[in-house]
Amino acid sequence: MQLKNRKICEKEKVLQIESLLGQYGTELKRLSFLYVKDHTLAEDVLQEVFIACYQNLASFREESSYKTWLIRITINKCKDILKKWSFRHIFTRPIMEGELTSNNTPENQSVQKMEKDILAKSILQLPLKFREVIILFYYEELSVEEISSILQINKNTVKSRLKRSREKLKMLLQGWEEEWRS
Amino acid sequence: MEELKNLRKTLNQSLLKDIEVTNREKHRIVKNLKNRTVSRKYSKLKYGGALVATAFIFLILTISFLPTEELQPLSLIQEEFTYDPFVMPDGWDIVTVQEELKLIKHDLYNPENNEFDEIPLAYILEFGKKTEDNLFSAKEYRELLEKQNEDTYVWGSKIKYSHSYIGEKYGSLAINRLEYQGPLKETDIPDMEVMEFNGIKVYIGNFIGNEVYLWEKDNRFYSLYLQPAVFKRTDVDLIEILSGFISELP
Repeated sequence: MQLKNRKICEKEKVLQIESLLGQYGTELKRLSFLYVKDHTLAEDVLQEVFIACYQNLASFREESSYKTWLIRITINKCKDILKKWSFRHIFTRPIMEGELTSNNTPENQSVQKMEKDILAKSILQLPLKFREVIILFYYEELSVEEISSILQINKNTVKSRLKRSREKLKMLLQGWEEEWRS
Repeated sequence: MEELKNLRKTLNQSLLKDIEVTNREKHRIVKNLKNRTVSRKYSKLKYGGALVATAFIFLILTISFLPTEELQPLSLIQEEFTYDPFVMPDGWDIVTVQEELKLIKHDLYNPENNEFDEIPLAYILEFGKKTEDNLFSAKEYRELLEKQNEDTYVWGSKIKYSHSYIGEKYGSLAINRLEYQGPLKETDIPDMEVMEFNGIKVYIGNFIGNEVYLWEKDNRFYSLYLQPAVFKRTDVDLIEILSGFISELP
């Protein structure tokens, strides 16, 4: 996909977008959800990401992979939404109670499934700055260097944030375990 | 942590398993790429004239009643929307009242077609010290109107009242209907602390430089944001502020 130094015709751009959408669409939508915790908003983010991608395709420099570039756009779009004043006031609750607990009775779930749900729920409970490094490192499987570049923070900050995130996550999981036992 | 080693697989099999981009969605996204790009340019031209005309009418109306305005901001809250009465610290005024409506029909690409519930989802009040007269300049009103149009289409936000103020705003209070908010258990605000105030559990944190206080009462979720400027003033007592906003349980 050589795009540098040449004008891309509209048809080519659309084909390119279709290809990127097929390749990364689901992944980016899932990443958006992990940030905004809302299905409709995740859909909106995805559309916005591909509009931005369409508009900036010609200026994409192959210094990073398409995946990293799209992840960066997605994170920025998600943060735009999270920063929005009315969003902060109304959606400060990040909990997806119904979505995660509707079938969470022991009768309906295996222990293994329950554990998966608890882990997912705990990750969503993490404050954004901790959640995002966990998501990028363990879910997107990006390196510390890549995360540092995407979030524009120091590599050591990424490492220390990862450490604190794991600690916080551990505490949350222990809390759930105790609740489960009781 | 062992659990994290397979996080991708775990999340894809649980929380994220139903989140996929269907062919229909892909088609819609691609279809809207051009429309959105073109319509943005077009809409600027198409709606530009209408916006100027609306802004002009708005300005005339606004300016005509500004000098005699004696409006009580809280009277703009719909009667059906009950909330816990509060007392602001001395010297505080309400400078903005914003109504938030629930989006019931969402048209992302033509937000002017969005439809909203009639019953407000929330009210957001901003506090500051009012100037003697409402001194918004024409430019500020125009910007306010533009912001209102944009937010009303996209978010269902309606600015019901706005008054010029001196210096910085002191903070804001959002009163949300709990049935949309969901139970308050934790938030995205890092390192929240919990304290009991007047018998009510209050979550305290810091978000983008603001002190944040969250609590629930009588089927309402309240979020109070206080600007750092408030704390720099030596005569402002936090307990006094909170006592005014978080009344005792009956």
